[in-house]
Amino acid sequence: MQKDLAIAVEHVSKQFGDLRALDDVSLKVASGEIFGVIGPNGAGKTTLVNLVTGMLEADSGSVRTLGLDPIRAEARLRNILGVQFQEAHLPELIRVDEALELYSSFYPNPQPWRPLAEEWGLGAKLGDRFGKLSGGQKQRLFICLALLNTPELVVLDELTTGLDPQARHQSWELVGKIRDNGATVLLVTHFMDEAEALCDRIAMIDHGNVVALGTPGELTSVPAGQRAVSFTAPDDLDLTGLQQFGEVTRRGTKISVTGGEFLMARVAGYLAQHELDPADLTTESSSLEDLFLRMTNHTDEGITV
Amino acid sequence: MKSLIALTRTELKLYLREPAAFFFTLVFPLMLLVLFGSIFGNDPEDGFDGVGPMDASVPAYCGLIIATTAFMSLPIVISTYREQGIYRRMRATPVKPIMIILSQLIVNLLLTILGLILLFIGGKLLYDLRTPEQPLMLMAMVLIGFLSMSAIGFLIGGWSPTARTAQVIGNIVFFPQLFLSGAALPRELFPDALQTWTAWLPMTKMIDTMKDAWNSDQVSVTGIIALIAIGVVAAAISSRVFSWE
Repeated sequence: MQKDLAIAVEHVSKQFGDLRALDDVSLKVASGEIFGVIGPNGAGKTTLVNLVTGMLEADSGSVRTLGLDPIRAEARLRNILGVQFQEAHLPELIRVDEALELYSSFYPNPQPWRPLAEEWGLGAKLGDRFGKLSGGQKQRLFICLALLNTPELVVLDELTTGLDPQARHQSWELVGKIRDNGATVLLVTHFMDEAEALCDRIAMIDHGNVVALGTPGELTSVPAGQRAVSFTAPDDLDLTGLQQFGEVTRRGTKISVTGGEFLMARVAGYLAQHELDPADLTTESSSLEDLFLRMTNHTDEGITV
Repeated sequence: MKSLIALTRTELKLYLREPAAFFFTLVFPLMLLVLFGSIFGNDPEDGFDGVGPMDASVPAYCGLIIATTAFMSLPIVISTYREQGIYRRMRATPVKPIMIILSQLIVNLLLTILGLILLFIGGKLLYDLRTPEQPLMLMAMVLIGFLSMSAIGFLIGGWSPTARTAQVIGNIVFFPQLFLSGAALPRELFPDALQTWTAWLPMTKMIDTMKDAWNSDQVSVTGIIALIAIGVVAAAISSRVFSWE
């Protein structure tokens, strides 16, 4: 077992009745990474989380989390792993301080919960009942609970689902903070922008298979010859001159040119010659979402940008 | 151990924040005591084997307290915690599942004991209740009855797919027994045939053994064996059907 791997999943499959939730999945997460798992609802993300955290056993293949077998070494793993689940809860009537105190009692050497709660902005909420907290506050409490044992690996499953945009962006900063404190982070999400902004590497999952794997840059980089430039132009612009740079398409007043190297410079030069200066001249960058749609052939079901 | 104490303390606080459960365990039995005490009084009567109606009824109210925690409260707590993912979150920590079960039992036992003490004090003050003939045996019967009924409660909560189902099944198990086991109405007032039939209900067995220990110098051995058998069977089945998620 390589020590520098936080997670090693090899040829893992898991079946639920007729549904093949994971089909021969392999991936490795290095220590200290923020590793993203993205995919539509029902792709197998939560099954992967359950296997990695020892909540489920794989039908076949091998799972090692922090070098341990999550089923056979469950007790040891629980002490060095932190988890925030998508579908987990606290009693409505429990107070924030009581929850922190209770979960601290589950670990042999918990870190003091009060400074942790302060750090995560819950200092003023300690006396409030869980049921009265906002979505963002609940998530921060769940993160605090996941950090009580100062874990080496933190698994965050759909951290920002149901949060408003401001709370989501706050959570992003906090995820960076977890890694800065030395933990590896496995971030499961169906928000493409979140994965793109936070993750060092990303695995894209669909129908139980890893369909793409790499850094956000690798996944979104556009092969030469497929770059595109777009702008708004007057109806009477002569498009034929642009065709020397690549394929030209027009949708109403919106022109886009797909072509090879130095496309932007050439198109800009051409427009300048014709004394045109469209304010919306941009390179159409491929986003994770584009890749996602291409890889999974889904329309917009289950994907939010 | 640290986690068991913390779990028990937390569960106790949460329980006391639910007024409905609180009412059935601590207040309702006292209301029955006052109501039926004012109707029947507590002078020794032949129909009650030579003891007063309240001497015969208080052990039955003890059974009522145990039954409310076991059939009304326990199944709902267990199934709600499972349905809402509260157990799922705990499973991701090193806490041992047996600690979670034990804390629930301890909370219910503490509340049961509190209910019994209130009932005993109330009975003494209002109706000069008999002091138990076999106090140690009575405590043993309370504990056996409690564990046996709680095993049934665990089975209901562990098997029920939702909290709603658990509540319905808990009610189905509880309410007929409330009236047929003598917990609310003295079985001594039932027609003979009904007395014979209702003698085999789990709650009747629990109440009769407690009544024996309170008011006589012996306890039915078949009653004790029946209670232990019920508890063991229910615990065995629930350990098979129980799931944390």
